[in-house]
Amino acid sequence: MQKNIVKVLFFIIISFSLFNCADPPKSIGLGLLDSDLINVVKINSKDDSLYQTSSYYKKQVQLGTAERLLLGKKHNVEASLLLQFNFNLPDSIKEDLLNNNLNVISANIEMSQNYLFGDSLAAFDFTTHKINSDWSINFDADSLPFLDYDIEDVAAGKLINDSVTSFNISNQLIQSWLLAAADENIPRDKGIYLKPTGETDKVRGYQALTITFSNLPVIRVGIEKPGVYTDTLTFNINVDVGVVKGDIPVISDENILVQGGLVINSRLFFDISKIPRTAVINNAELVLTIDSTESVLGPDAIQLLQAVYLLDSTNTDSLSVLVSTLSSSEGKLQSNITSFVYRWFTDANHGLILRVFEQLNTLELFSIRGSSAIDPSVKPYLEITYTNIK
Amino acid sequence: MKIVPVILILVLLVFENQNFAQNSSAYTRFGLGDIEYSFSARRAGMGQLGISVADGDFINTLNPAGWYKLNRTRIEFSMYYNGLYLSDNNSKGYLGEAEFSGFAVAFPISYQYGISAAAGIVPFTNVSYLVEQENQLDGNSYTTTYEGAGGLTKAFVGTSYRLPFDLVIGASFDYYFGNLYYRAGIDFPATNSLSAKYENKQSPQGFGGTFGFVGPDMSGIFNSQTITDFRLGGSASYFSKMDFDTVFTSSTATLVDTLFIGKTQIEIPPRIIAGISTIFSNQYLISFDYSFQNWQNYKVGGLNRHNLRDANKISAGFEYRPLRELGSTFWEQIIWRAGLSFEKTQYIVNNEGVNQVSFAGGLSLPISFENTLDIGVQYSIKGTTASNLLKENSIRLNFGISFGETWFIRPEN
Repeated sequence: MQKNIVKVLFFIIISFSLFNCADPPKSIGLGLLDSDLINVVKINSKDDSLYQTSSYYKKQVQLGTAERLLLGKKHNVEASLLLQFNFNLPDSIKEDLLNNNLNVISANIEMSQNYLFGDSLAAFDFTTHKINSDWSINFDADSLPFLDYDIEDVAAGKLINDSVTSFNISNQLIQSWLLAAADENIPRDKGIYLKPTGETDKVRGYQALTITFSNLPVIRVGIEKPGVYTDTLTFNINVDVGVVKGDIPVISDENILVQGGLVINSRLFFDISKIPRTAVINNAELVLTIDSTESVLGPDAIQLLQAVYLLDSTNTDSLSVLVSTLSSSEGKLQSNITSFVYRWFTDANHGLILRVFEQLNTLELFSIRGSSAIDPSVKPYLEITYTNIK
Repeated sequence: MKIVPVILILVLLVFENQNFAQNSSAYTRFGLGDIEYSFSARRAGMGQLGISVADGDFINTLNPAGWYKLNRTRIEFSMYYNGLYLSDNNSKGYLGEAEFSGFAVAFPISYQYGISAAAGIVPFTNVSYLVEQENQLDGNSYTTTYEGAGGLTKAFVGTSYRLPFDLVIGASFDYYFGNLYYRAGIDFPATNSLSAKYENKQSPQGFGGTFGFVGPDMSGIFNSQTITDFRLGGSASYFSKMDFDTVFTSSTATLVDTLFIGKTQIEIPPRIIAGISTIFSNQYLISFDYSFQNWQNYKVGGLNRHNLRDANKISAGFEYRPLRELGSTFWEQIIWRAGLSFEKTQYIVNNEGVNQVSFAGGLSLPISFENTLDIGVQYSIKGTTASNLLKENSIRLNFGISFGETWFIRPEN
């Protein structure tokens, strides 16, 4: 019996050690902790006069890695594109070409549209030119003046709608390209250059060569071996690149600009030195006001901007991987940038860069009320919540 | 030795760390926290002091001289469960927590000369509070939490020696160490805002010494065969200037930022305990004790601290120990205890001193020969709701294991 009593008592002791029962913690004793009290404080750039600056700049970009090919003209931008196809021929076709037994009887290029910048009813046309000089995916607007191409427009029979743009291209030109693909001694073709005509007032976007390999530009070539067969060969794009050129539009002195394609970015800086050194940042919200009178947004516009953490205020290309997306609602762009402000507070404050979401694939122009706006209620607004010792 | 109790004790030690609730109140924010007079379940059942009491089967951690009667190697562990009912003028609540409260080991070296050696690790102070407050800012609710944890621990090693005329002295070399955590944090449960935490970690460490005596048996003055072992006893604990490191940090979920690092020293005032005890009819022990420590002179960096005053404690204890006879049943071997104490704690807040009254009882159950399971129950009332203070009604259940073995014992020549 002694052993049983002892065992029961040991069980009770173990139970006490494992199970605590308690009411939820309460505020009893708070008055004794004066030396430890902390509180939450909220400040904002408007009411607490946080110093801020904003500016914008044009940045030369290469659109070779863009997911979209842009063609057209609208507002301050002109978009053109370069295409080169991959003529991967079967040996039998090569042999016939080399023996002059094969003729090109038709050639049609088709591009799938997935973007529109401008009014859908606005004018749109383009010309197509044979390129004579070398180019690569690093081609950009600065390279354009040095591009050598034929004056002659080699496109005909254009069919353009909001889904597809297709046009026929010179059979002789394609014949020469196929021969070059079959004969190693003949230099390869350098592709074609498409540029908008003067009366064009919108920009269309087409699927570019990406890892998806779907809806890419194709060329369909009708061939004939006289008396033997006719066939249609389809060739995919080998290299493509878009080029966007233009100038920064004239806008109000109170505004800053963000535009895709061209590219125009803005820089924003808030002085948060008012926050005590012992504080901990809990939350930060950034709100920007869009000036709709100066903004140019297409029907396919994704009204999103990105805020990117800037690593060095002297180099606007020194961008962190820390990115926050500002979403649009009722004329405002808003984002939580707690991680930005946290790093500004604990590290160094170089501000942030504003850029268009998917800036290589769109031409949207956002005019945003800047730090020099006279009306403080439309200036860039930053609200910070932090905890500090009382 | 039974292996099952040992295993169970080890289980307790493992699971102890999972219990990190609250077992005291915001009073422990001041000074070094609550003073832990004794880790033992035995002493808890007798009012916690018993400075002049020497047992052959108990390790007295307050007075090294009390080890002189040990006749076996003893190993003692202890833990407690504290149920605390807190109240102030506005609200009340219940909290409960279990804690491991230390161990000690002692070896008799020479019974003739009263030489025993003992060592152990026992709690010296305790900081434990958890306060939570719900707040709102512009419609967003958040929770502010204040938490205190940790305490000072004493590791000791010492010995006793019986001088001529039955005067026993003892001394121990003490090392004090520990961490005191004072935390404040804010959480936003309903939003994706980052939480914020501040932690003030203080790490005192230093040395000290405890010197004690148990006087000769003066029961002869009563000229009574009923009264035996009437003794005076006392101890004095001294503390060197202790190193006191402070690290103050702020943190979120991902980053810790050190805001302040400081090094200074603290001065803990000495503690004096004196008492008398006597035994009636060889079975009934009564003890009276008084403890004093002038916490008013506690200093950090040479400066006195607010909210501290001198601490005084008086206690009375009673123990019934049945005579050991062959054939005694389990129930006839149980040792019973009772005690009460009144303490003017070291806390003074809002010009109001915080006092504590305690009532205790306990028993020792024989597990096997020379091994006991000790249980102590202590009910305490501390503080007041006047002057915006707190009142604590606590009940502490103490459990201890005492093993007696013949290890390392050499026959006396």
